[in-house]
Amino acid sequence: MADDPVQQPGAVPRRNVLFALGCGALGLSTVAGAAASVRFAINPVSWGPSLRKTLGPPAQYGVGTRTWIDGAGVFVVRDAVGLRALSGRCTHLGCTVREDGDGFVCPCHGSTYDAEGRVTAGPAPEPLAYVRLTRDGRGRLVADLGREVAADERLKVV
Amino acid sequence: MRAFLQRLWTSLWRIGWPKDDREATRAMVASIALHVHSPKVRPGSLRFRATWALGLVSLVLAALLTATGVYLMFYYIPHPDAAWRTMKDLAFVVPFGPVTRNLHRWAAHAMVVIVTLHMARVFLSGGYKAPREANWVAGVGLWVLTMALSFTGYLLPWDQLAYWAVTVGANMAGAVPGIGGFIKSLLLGDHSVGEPALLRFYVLHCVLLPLLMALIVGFHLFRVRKDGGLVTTEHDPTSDRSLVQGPRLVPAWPHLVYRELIVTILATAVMMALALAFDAPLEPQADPTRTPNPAKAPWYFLGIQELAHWSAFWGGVALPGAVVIGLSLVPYLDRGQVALGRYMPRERRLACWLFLLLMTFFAVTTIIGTYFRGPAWKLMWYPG
Repeated sequence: MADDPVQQPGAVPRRNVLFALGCGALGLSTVAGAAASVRFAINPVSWGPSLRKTLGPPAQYGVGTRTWIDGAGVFVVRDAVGLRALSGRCTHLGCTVREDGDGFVCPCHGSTYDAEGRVTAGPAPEPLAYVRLTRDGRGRLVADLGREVAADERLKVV
Repeated sequence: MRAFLQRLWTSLWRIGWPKDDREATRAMVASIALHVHSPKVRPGSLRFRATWALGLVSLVLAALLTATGVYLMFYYIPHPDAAWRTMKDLAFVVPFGPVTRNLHRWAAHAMVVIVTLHMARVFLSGGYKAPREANWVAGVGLWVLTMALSFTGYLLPWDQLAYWAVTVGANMAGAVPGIGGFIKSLLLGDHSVGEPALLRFYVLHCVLLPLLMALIVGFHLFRVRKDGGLVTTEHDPTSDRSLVQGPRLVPAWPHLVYRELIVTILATAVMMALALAFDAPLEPQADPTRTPNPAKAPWYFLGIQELAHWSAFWGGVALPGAVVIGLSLVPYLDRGQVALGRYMPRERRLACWLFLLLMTFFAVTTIIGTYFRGPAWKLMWYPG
């Protein structure tokens, strides 16, 4: 009895080791399965409308004007230096702002912005975003809603 | 033929119409629909004041919502091009379409109210205390599920109200620190509310959340019996009808079953009357670039919208989250076993007033958000 090969004193029983291994394997495969099913639900492709909006030739925006583009959700602002695209998406919870005098106001929670898009009142945490403005092969303006740019970056046209 | 019909009837209804208490008890146990009940119940739990029938009415509303919801699915198409048009079809073309949609809408609103009142009733009478802690947590879960079902159902008509309420709600989820963007893309399946979001909300609203709710309701009812029935004044040792002197029991048939039948008929009749009298609103079709002014969430979320007006994270995420976690922890923190079954007893004055303060806070913010917020969320002094 003293030299029982199965049960050395102080040794961990084989049954416990196998049980722990089994639990570990079950746990790992559960976590992996859960992670995979969450990953499955993250859509890698956007089926919605493109974030690149074609806005027409620059000539249709006069110097010193601000024009709301309905389908794109941006304001095209033109001054003596060049053109900028100011997103109409409120930085609080994503409603579309509307013009209010020189500035903007959000209808959802009342954030207000000045003409440059800086927050003047309300819960908005950040100024309205300026987005990348480029021209396509035919010279038309293209605003990329997915690309934020600095407020002083202008597209210069001649 | 007569023998066949007789045989068919007895195969379905084995006991027959009960003629005495013994047969009534056998009937309760033999029927799958009735065996949810205990065959005998304490008379204290039958008194209207013990429950105000709020749990049963919640269940009746859930049944009405399931029935009308399945019917609406016969016509509804979860696609941005078609969803709003099917709402118009239901309103003008489908026979009994308006009353079906109205019933679904008003029952959903009523369920938010009744489930909340049910929670208040249980809290004020100490119904969350041991051994009912787990069932209270299940109840809080059902309350959250009721809200989640309302929110996901809100997008489906694809009108302006729906679109912007869900845009605001999804961005609120996006305000969760660290994982907000992840939750938002999980919910919407895109960068903004569109085709994938509508499909996801549809699946959540019609399959996933109702299934979850049915499972938890099953657990909830099971626990009521396992925890020894409802909390009543009979649990209060100081009461002259205390259980200490031994429980007096009455058969559930007819005492409980008939009361339930009456409540079910009344609740259904009231909802039907509302559905016939008032039409569910439908705004113009969703326009992703034009936000209506003011853009309001459904009324039961206007308290949260009012708070989000101050801060998206604190008002929209942190405070509601803290309320749900706090409510779930209540039975584990407040463990006294006094004055059970009585509403707002002196011994539990602090707990009850804190709860009522919370309810009042949400009621007041909801009323401000509903009636005193006008265009651009500015304060105004008359309902509009």
